[in-house]
Amino acid sequence: MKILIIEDEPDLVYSAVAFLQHEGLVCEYAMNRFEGEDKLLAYHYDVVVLDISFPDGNGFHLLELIKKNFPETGVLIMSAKNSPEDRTKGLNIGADDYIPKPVHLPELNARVKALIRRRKFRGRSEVLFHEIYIDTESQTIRVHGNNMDVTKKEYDLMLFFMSNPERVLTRESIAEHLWGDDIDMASNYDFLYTHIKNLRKKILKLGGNDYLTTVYGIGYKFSAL
Amino acid sequence: MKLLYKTGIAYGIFSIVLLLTGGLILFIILKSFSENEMDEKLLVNMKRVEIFISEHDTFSGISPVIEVYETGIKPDNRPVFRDTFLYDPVEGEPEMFREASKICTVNGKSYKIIIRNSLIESHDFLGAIGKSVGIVLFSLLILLLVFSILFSKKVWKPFYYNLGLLKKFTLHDEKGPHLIPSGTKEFNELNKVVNSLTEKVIADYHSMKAFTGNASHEIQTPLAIIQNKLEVMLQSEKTDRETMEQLHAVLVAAKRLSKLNDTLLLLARIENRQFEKTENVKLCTIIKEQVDMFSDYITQVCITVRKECTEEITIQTDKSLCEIMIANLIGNAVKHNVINGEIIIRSEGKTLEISNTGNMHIPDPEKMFGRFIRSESSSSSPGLGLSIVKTICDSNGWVISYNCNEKIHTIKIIF
Repeated sequence: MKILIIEDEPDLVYSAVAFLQHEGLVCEYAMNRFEGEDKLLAYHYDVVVLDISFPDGNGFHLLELIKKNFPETGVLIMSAKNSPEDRTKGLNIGADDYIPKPVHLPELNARVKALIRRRKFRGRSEVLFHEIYIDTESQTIRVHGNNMDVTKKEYDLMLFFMSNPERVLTRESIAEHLWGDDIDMASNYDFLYTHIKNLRKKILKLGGNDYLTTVYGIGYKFSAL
Repeated sequence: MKLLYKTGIAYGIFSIVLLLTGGLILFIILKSFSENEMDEKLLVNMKRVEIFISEHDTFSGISPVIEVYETGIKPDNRPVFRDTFLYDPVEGEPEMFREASKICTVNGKSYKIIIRNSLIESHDFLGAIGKSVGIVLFSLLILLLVFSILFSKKVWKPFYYNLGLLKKFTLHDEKGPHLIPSGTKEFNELNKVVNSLTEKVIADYHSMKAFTGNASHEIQTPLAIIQNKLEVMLQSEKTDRETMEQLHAVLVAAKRLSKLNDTLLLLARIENRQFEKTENVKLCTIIKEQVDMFSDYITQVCITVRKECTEEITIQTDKSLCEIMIANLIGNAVKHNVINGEIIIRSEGKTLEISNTGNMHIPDPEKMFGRFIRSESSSSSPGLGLSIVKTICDSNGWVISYNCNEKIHTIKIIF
């Protein structure tokens, strides 16, 4: 899987590239529009992560270029959070998904993977972690082959964890992934804990292992024992 | 009042005064001229009588126009003029006469000669003159007024047209209004000045809009770097427990800063009227969506939400702004609530009311919608939620008010 990140800020690019490469994805980057165009014309990419919040509107130009010339390439746009019209415009031009800036790396990771699944496997795809199997097309979870009954939120939570294995995920980033931005006004995250508790119970009931470890005071980690 | 009427009335009054004064002066001049002529005529007639007496040695007289008396008074040959009021047998009633009298010597005898002339004709004459002058001046006045009004209208027409264009101008126009030139130098000068003013204003506005966007980009970038690096550090196995907790606290603070930045910029953009795109928005639908989004948190704090939306309220506004407003209102109602508390959402006609149970006593209700005002229980929030709501209401012309009644806090918005 080859990813191209087009972003002008060096530190952000390096962090994102490092993060994604850790996942086993081949990740390249371009720091301006011209470099981006050159790379796109030279190589094939499965997913392009593009920052469209450049004030001069060059991001849209690039997006149109990609959609016109490389229709099989998935595009994930990064847009400024307080510019909903940028997001709308980007999606209308044909971007597959968007992620608000500033970008949470686990979130970026999950979305890139979701986009790859959608694009590469035409939706039918699976995520496997030992005995836990997720079928993203039917949105079902199976433990040891047995179907696990989950709510939508629990499914999203499980998928988020399994997309980011071996990573510490902060409570805030999990909550943001499931409920969006405004949830930050919650003064405690007990409701998140409830969901995780339920998830654990369900996995254990079907004979699976509890890969969810609590990193006290910070968040959770989904890792092999 | 309109300039046209102002100048019209000013001209009118001035003209009336001028013409009246002129007419009066004219009248006085004519009158004195006519009187002098009459006195001259009396003197001539007096001379004729004197000659007649010297030739015929007597004069019978025609009263009251000519009267001759022999008199013993010492003659002084000086004519005395005066106006008298006498009975005129010809007219059959008393009339005004102009009288010239003289005591003179003719052929050695002293005579008093009195010559009189009726003033009727002269009065009639003066009356006729007065009337005709009056008519002429009055017509002059009317015609002047009409002409000045018509002319003014023509001269001011381009001005009023340009004024109309300027009224329709808004900052969102790409360029200034296209003002039409006129033959008047001052109007053309005004056009030039207005054009350069509007160009400057539009340029400033656009650069401010661009600045707002750039500022957001610039501030977000270092914040994003901070957050990213921290996340990477959190993942590292080399980080020990204590350090991780510190890093997490820093990450949370950075997130707060980021949210604060976004909110302040949102407020700035709303105030800059950058959300002018409106559409029909169904309020109750948005309320339902937002309540659903908060449902997990709401159940955790055991708050019940009662929705009394009898009918759908449809308003013309920017949809995303409306969603932000409702989210902030509901979030506020949740945050300042108590365990097992309640939130009641009521909509009726063009009014929306959101009430929540709560313990807090608000010391200064007017300040509640100010920036950075928060309660003690939510010290981690920047206190901008309600000021966002107020700014959105203000920019749409909606009226928002707060009311507290027995520990139930209600916010009411009238659309």
